[in-house]
Amino acid sequence: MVFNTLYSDPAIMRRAKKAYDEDFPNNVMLEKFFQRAIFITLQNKLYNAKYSLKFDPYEYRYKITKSKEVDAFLKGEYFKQIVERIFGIKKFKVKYEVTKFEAGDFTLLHDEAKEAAGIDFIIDFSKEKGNRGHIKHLDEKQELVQINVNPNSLTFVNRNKEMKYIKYVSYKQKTPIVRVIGTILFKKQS
Amino acid sequence: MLNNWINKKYLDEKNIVKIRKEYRKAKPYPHFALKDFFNKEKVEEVRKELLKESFEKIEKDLFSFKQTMDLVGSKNKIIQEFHQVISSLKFIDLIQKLTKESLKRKIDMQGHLFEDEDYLLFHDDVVEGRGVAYVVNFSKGFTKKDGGKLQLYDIKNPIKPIKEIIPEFNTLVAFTVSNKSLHAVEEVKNKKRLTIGGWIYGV
Repeated sequence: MVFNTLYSDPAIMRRAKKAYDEDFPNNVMLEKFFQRAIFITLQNKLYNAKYSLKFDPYEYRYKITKSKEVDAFLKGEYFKQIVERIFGIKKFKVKYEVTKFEAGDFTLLHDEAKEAAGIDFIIDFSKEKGNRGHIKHLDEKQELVQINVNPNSLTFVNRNKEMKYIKYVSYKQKTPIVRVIGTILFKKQS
Repeated sequence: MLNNWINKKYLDEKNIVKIRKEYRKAKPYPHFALKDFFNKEKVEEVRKELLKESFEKIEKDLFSFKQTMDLVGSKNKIIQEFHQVISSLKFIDLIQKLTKESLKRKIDMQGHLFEDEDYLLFHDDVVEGRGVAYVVNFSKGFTKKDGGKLQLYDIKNPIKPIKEIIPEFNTLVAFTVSNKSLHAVEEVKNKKRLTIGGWIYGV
């Protein structure tokens, strides 16, 4: 088992589902998600990985990398179990990036690239808690939810017509913010 | 009126021609930063009164800073006078001569205050009608390490700024607004960056 055994408990997962369903937009954060040793190993790998810059001045600036371990986890049984227990979905696709945000990095809202609706997820491998570089979900009228940096958490946020951006990271951020940021896209149930 | 407000050297015809040539040739796009632009006593007075205006914090994906309403609505006599100078035919004529842009007597003017961790990310200012963007710097004591620099980028290679302008007290900065005028205000580090800025509209 790679993740916290708490999350294999059906009662805990029912509570997670309830918390997700009751919030608007639907969202839930599972804290202390991975078992500690697994988390530290993955965190070290991701901090030491080689990243490449993704930059468009009108849209974003951050770094990305590939990770076999993250890919295996997202396509594997454990993640499938969690998704099935919270959302009751068996068939889905996952689109994601392993990202690193440092001082000066950001993403902006931009109309041309409205993302496909789905359930956003964030697996946080950062080293320190905080609100710098937070992820903000909003609709045309208002800000809806803000996901702060919280090491070793898995967060789900339902996104239909809402948009999101990642807040500019201030010079006061001491360590890089490393997160897997992605979306669960549903396949039609047969 | 301009004689009372503007440093005489910027009203000298020979100097105007020289500045215009430099403005047109400037990289990455036409701009200038003219030091000691206004009469020192006048600009000190405007600074003092500007700090009495009401600044509201605005924070979005693109920016974080404080700004005033358009200063055309200010009740403060000194600020009103400053607005009258900047929107006067004579001042706009001077900016036309300095930039070689065709401008009309229509301006926007707001006060901006950037405090610690405030920033303005990449954008080009393009909105229909805007001709020249201007910024008058009222902050004091800024050095390179304090952030707050106006950064001008080459749209074709925006990784590093081509030009960085430290917000020095009593400097007038202006640039031609176009789809090439990519710029940003660097995050401010533990300082207060106080400016009045806006746009002069094109013909």
